[in-house]
Amino acid sequence: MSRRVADKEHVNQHYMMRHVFVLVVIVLMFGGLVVRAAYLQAYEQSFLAEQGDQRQIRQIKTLSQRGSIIDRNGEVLAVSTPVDSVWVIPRQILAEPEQVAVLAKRLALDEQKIQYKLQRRATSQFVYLKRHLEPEHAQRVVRDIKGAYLQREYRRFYPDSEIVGHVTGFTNIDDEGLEGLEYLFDDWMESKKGSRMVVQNRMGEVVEEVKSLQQAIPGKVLQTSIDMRLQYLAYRSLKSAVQQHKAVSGSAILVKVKTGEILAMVNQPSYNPNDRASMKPAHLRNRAITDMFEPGSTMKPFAVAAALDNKIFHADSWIDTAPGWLSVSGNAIKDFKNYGRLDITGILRKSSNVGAAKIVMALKSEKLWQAYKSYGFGDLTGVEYPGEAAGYLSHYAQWRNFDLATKAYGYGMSSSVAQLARAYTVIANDGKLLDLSLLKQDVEPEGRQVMTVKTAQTVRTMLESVIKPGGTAQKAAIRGYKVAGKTGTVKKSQRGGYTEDRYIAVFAGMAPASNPELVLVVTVNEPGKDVYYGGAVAAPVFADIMQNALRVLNVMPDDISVQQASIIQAGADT
Amino acid sequence: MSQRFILAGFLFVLVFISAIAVVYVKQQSRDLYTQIRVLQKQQDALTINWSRLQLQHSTLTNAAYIEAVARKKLSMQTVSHPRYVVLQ
Repeated sequence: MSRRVADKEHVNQHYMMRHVFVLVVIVLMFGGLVVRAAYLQAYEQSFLAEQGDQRQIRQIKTLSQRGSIIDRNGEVLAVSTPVDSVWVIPRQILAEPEQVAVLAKRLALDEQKIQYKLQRRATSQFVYLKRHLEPEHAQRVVRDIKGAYLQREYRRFYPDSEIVGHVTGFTNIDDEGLEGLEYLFDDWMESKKGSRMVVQNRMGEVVEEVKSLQQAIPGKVLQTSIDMRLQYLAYRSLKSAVQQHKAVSGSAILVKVKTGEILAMVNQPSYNPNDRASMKPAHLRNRAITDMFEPGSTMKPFAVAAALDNKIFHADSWIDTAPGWLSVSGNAIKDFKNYGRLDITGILRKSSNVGAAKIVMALKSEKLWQAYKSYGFGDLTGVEYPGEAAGYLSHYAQWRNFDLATKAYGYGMSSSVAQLARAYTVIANDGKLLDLSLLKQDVEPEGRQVMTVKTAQTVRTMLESVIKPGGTAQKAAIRGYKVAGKTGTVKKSQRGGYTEDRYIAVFAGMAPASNPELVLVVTVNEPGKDVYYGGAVAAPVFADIMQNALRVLNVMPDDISVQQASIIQAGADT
Repeated sequence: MSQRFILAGFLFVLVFISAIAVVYVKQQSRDLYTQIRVLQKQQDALTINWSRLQLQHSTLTNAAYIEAVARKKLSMQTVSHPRYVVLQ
């Protein structure tokens, strides 16, 4: 028994020794750590901080390309290209002051300004020095500089600059859409930022990739309905007309009849979307869509169509416009001269206000309002372009007699150029109303029948006479094609009435008239005082653009005599 | 006792193999990372080149430029109605 106790004591003593030993070792170790930590904090702080800077784990954002904008044939309208931005950590740059001069020289910037900028933000960890440099150049700039780094970014280029600027719009320096399609389809084209975790050394070089946190995804390509060839032709014609007539502004819009696609949309003045610095707000407006004007005589075909569809008149009805003026509720409606008795075609050909007023007064206000409304007046066109104007068409309950009469020749209401073009596609498309679109359509949209096929065809035939001898727009004629259209010369309204010397010249038309493919509306705002009629100012622009468009699109001429065609056919067969 | 030794020895060998494997995989991941960076840089260079070519292409196919060349250099003219025939 006693021996067992002694044994146990011996064992306990043995363990005790071990305990003490382990305890001492642990205390010594902790003591060592504390002393070491204190030493590091106190004596080697600056050295270690620098070492730490050299190898740090950073989360780096990775960017990807924004989607391009292309035209219907794949031509590039806007593309993002990689560029590098130079950024610095001021503390590191200023540590070796001679670097500032080197940077200034390489970037062609003022040394004083850089110095000032760095001093002012000396404690920042990130200061942009210069953004969007060509990658090769950027590499040369930061070579051997301690504290200058590159950041990959993307810059948007618009190769056709001002020709299609109003359609594309533009982005800000961070590639976010601000105007036009860039704004409207920002979500579609936007790239998704990615990020990865890396260990960087002091030169900003990645030493080790820790992990990829999120893959960057490039944005999607946006295919527009624009045909760049036609856009260019339209731009050129409109620009030369606006210059020739010393006009304030102008717009043209070319629409494909069967689909409602906008093939070309141009405005003057335009702007260069590549150069944000020189943009003037007034030039940024896509006037064809955002600006409203009184459509004037270009409304007459719709007044006629409404009367025909409501069976108030027939295509061969006659109306007496003598003596060339008409008094409605004490207001005078005047014609250019006394045209006497005219048939309905004659009213459109001569653009008789009196005749048109008599037509709508035979119609009820409600019927005319319903018809105009169904042709899309006072409504958005469906393009959803930012800042689109809906136009103004007051409710018929507010119309008095004179208001009704003025609607016949397009006063007392307003429309955008795009809206007017959309309404003309109703006449061109056998009475079907389509939404306009700036995106390429793969399938023909259904459309809504808002005018009978017969009326649309009748009005089209009537509008052909406008271009023929005796009509107001002989300058809109195109050899080889039948053209249907209508002129407008609108007095500009101002507070308290209409001006006497400021006009908008308009021409709206379609070709080839026997089976229209294209609708084109041209407006020239405030042409000079000598020549200002729609038929003299806007019609030649129409003819020029339309002729080229028909040629480029290979549209079959419909005004070559049958005899000639059959001879050629016979010749081709042998 | 000897059984324990065998187990310990076995585990030791396993640990050793695992350690070597870790080193090997780490090395491999470094190699692959170098590769992916090289490829990413290549991709980057190609992207830059591609957008440059796109811009160049659209400059050269610019309608205004083509028209100027066609009219001035090549003395081309627009064919107007009496000079073309339509084959049906």
